[in-house]
Amino acid sequence: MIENFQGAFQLVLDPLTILVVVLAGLFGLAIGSLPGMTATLAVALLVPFTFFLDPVPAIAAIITMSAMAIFAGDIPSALLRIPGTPSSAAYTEDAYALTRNGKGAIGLGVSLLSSVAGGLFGAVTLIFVSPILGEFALRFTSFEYFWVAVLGLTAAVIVSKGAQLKGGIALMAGLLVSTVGLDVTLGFPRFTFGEEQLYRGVDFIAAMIGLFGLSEVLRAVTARKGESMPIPKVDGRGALKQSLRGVWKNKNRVASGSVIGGVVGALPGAGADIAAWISYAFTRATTRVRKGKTADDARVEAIAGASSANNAGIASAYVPTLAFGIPGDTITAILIGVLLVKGITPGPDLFLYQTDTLYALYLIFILANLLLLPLGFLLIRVSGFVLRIPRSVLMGLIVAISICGAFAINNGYLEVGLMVGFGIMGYLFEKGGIPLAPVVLGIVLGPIVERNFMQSVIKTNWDLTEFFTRPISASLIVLVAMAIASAPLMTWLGKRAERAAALKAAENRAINADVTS
Amino acid sequence: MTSTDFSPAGVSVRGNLVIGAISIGVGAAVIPYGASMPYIREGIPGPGLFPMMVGGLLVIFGALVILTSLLSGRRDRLHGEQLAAAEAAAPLPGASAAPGSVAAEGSAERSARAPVDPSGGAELASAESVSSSSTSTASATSAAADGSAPAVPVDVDDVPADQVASGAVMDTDIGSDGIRRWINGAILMGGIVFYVLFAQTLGFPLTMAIVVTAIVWSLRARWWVAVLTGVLTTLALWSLFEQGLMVQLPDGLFRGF
Repeated sequence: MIENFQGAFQLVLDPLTILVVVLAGLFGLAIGSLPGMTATLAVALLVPFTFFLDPVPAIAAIITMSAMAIFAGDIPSALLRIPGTPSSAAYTEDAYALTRNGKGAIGLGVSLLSSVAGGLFGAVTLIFVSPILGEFALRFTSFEYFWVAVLGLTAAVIVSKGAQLKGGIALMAGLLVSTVGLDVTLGFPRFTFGEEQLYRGVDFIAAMIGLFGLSEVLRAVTARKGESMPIPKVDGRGALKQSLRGVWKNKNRVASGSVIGGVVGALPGAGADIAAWISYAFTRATTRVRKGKTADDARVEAIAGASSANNAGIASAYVPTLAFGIPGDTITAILIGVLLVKGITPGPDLFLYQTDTLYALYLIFILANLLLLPLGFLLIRVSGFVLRIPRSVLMGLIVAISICGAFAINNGYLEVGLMVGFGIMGYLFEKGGIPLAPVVLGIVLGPIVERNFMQSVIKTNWDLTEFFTRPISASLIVLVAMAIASAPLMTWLGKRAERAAALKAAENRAINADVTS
Repeated sequence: MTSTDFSPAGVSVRGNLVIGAISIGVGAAVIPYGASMPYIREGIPGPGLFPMMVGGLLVIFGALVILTSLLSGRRDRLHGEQLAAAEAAAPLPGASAAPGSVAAEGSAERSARAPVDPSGGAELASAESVSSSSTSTASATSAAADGSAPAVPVDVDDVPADQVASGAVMDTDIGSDGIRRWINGAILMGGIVFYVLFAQTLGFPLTMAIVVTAIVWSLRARWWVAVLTGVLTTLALWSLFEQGLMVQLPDGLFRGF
């Protein structure tokens, strides 16, 4: 293990890698702190550049950037009441209320410190859990890989908030896209419409840039006119000490948030934003009333819980990614695409043959979270300036990077056209309330599902019973069935609780109105 | 990927019907196409199997979307009536209110019990936050409040939003009203198409500068900001891709640049 880390240190401490990590970190902080720009968008824009880097700097760039962007999403939550990334949405109200009460710097400081703590916990989880799962995965055959991929797909649909059926449609759209090109069994061209360039399939990166980059620009450009927003002043002096005290007081919350984030993030399909919501709900539901505890203290508590959870989730989403090659969220789905291009197959082989890369990846996680500390405080200081970047300039920039990135994939215009098509598709999907994450997972996992299914049935001469009778398969099937069964239940419970809450609020209003009149 | 966009309530019943119909249509088109693909052996499907399965599921999901949106539309209407009744009745605390609202109140109490199930509010709150994030702040705190902790994120000591000292103003909004929205969208998409069509003859620097300038200018930026953004972005990307990453971008008129 020690000699592995020595090799990994050499890979990570390369000056180019360090430079890439710092640049990608700054890029992630900038994109994450702008409202509406998600971490996934940042990764999608970054990917064309990583094509031209060695594997380790490429992975380092993506990991650092996503960790930074997730924290930076808290900045507009606190200052403008708009979450910068969906992961910050859970505690936006609390962060903004703290800013209004003049404690914005403390809220952001606590959020930063718990993000770092959560990220480090997630990294440790990754280091210890993924080898165990990887060893387990060594016994997998094509049957098990088929079921694991199906589990990933099912999970992607289930976590589509409140719209599982639409999530299903999105997933099918992604799977359909993944079938474009020559098929695995006979090499028969499917959905190519005589276009030979499509034989190699729809390029994943072009699809990502379109779905997450261009569609976002299209949405912003065609949005209705709104109001300009004042940016509240944040006084950063003395915030570090108070933030440290705030985190120390809520260390149990940071711990529970990290654990929740670590567990939820590792589930295939569930990502950092869901981890944050669950941890937020948990913290709020178990908070204690004590004498002298103000509403602001409760808010700091909630932020500590949820903010540590989303960063822990970012790291632990890599557990299924590394062990099985099944992405935990959209960012890891993109990472799998990058790894495959780099000739690295995520999965158990990584633990056997490419340990240097693997340990370098672990180190990058720790490095990225440590780097988040100084860069994060810097960002809190200059947040006012970052938020004042004109949106029109930003849109032009994103379009330019998108075109160049799509073009650079193959030096061809087909990819630019594909990007436009996926941009329109992403825009329409968002208008119709269809989630985009299942599309990504469908495109990435589609070939894996199909290949393993076809391999399995050809191997056994269409004896389908093998899919169900193998012990590991059977347990995976139980998981899939449980996941599917939980979907309608969750929707129903959520709807019911939502209606009940609305009714209760109305009644309270009515009672209050009665008392005051 | 903003959380509010995924709530199904944001899409009208008619929108859901359109989504369902398109999904069924695509699925129905894919199935015969998949069936027309060659078989591995007689009776053993090969390349067409997977598309046919996807097509079948698309049809099923589309039909379910239509069905559920029709049903939930009806439920939401009923719920809206209940809500209106509860708002209008304004029942006295502890006393049974006007006879008209008894039914509404009874059902309200029954459903209000949901978040305080004996299994614990936390699990339920988390479940609902997964399913509908837009409302879970409210419901999560209501679950907390039921657990005897007044952790509602509103407080009497809070400073109102309009009294906050602000250092600067951010123009977050680049949207427009009326037909201008669609013109801006057309400029964006047309710009990319323009690039694809003319990059080879005019060259990357000129085409990209024109496209970026046009897009930025259409979003109400000052003309010199737009031109500056166009030129600087083009120069930066040119040096990055052409010099740094060794990607051959079309030179066009600027040969030897």
